[in-house]
Amino acid sequence: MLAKADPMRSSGWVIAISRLLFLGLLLMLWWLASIHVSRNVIPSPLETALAAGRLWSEGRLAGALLASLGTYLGGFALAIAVALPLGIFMGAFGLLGRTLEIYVYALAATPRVAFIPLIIVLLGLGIEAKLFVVFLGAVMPIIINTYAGVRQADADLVEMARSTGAGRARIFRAVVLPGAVPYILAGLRIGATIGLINTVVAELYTAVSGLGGLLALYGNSFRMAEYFVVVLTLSAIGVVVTEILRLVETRLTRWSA
Amino acid sequence: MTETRTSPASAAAYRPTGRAIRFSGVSKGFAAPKGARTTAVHAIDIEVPSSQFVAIVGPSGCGKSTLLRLADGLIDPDTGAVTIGGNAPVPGPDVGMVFQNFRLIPWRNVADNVGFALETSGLGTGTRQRRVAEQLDKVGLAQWAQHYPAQLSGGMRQRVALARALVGKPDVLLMDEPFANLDAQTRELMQEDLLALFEAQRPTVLFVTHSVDEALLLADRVIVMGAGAVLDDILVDLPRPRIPDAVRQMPAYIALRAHLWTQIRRLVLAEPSSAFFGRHGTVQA
Repeated sequence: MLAKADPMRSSGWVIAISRLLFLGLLLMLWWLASIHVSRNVIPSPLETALAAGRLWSEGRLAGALLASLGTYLGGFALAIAVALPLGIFMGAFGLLGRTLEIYVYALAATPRVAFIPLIIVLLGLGIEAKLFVVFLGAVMPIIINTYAGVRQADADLVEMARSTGAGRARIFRAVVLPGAVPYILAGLRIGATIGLINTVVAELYTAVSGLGGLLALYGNSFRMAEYFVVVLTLSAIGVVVTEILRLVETRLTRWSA
Repeated sequence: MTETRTSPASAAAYRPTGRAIRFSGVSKGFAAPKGARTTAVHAIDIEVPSSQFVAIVGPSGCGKSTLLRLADGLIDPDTGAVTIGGNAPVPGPDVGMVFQNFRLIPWRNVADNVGFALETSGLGTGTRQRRVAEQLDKVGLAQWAQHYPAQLSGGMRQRVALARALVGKPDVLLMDEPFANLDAQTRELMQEDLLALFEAQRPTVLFVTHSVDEALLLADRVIVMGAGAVLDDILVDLPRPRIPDAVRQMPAYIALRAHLWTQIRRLVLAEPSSAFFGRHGTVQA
């Protein structure tokens, strides 16, 4: 049991080094592509780095980043606040779940971009519309996964808990909810990814702003080095948020040894 | 082991006798596909006197586990009545239940798994912790209290499950093939532990098993079930305390074993679809 820790650690180092080597390979490929394709389409890594420094010192990148993060995290937080209780209630009360589930699935299967014209008409082009677009993207996977996690409670554990004399509330708190945590975290991760996509979509379709706005600006004016900086910034946000969620998951599922 | 038997003080710490269990005219069916119902047990009459150790053997699906669930009050009979100590059974820590697949809560450590059985008891946190520590000490898991189930071997997990069943100081134990998932050596050690526990504390025990040898080694009485009915009911008049190796040499044991095997051979041959050996092949021939 304890001996397992050592090989795990050394293989962790091996993985880290392999990943760095692969990053080097990607940079090399990027650099090769920038040499062979017209400069106006693919900027070199160095040009991109210089553009990043320029955008940062002008304060444009930070401003756009803050605006996008506000939209993204605000919409995501709203989605969690609605989806977690709703998914839990749907799982806990069978009739509610069976009634709502087909509507949730239907809405989840509809491309949410289709709602954007309606959202603009209803909420305008400001922050409310953007938050709602992010919310709409992130909320579905969290509801569906939370609901599934609560529904798929381990029947054997529930029976064991009943045999000790535990009532419904205690069984729900001690067995059903903790058992749903891995599902909920999976839902949060999917929701976080869709939320980020919808952040950019919202910024492109409503009042152009944030990182999505910069994408449109530099894309349309063929300033590809700046454009690449924005793309990499978006990917960095995605990586940071999913890594944080993965860290939370590792913390919460320590027991799985 | 001998110490607990000769010292009345430690035995007196427990209720000296377990409550009697009675099944009178009990039938129970379950919903099957297409609106049909399958009968799990049919018109069962069994009386288990106080502090008797009863083993129930029979093919898979003969209703053995249904009897335990009825006795624990987890399910109600369709007709007839089940009583423990004269009252309808209510699930709680005064009846200890042990399952074949351990059923430990994976995100709770060993101590909190055992303590789970006391959370409905109304005891204070300090008392509960002390009781859990005592019980873990008794099953030899004191130094594993902070480990998670995934870090334990199968035998240790079942000892945790046993500790959870015992921590409420039950006078009735319901055990559903508790040792079927364990390797042969661990099973033997657990059988010895259970014998010592039973002989010291004398709870009433209903013990479901696929193994004729396990039934004869542990029980005062063996009930053979088939297709939801009691087919045979024999007394195992072997002296206690039982030493496994010695018991297996006794002429009475050998005769009972031959008798039971005749019954079971007939059952299996009569109904070839029902595998007496079950999923785990635990019958030791």
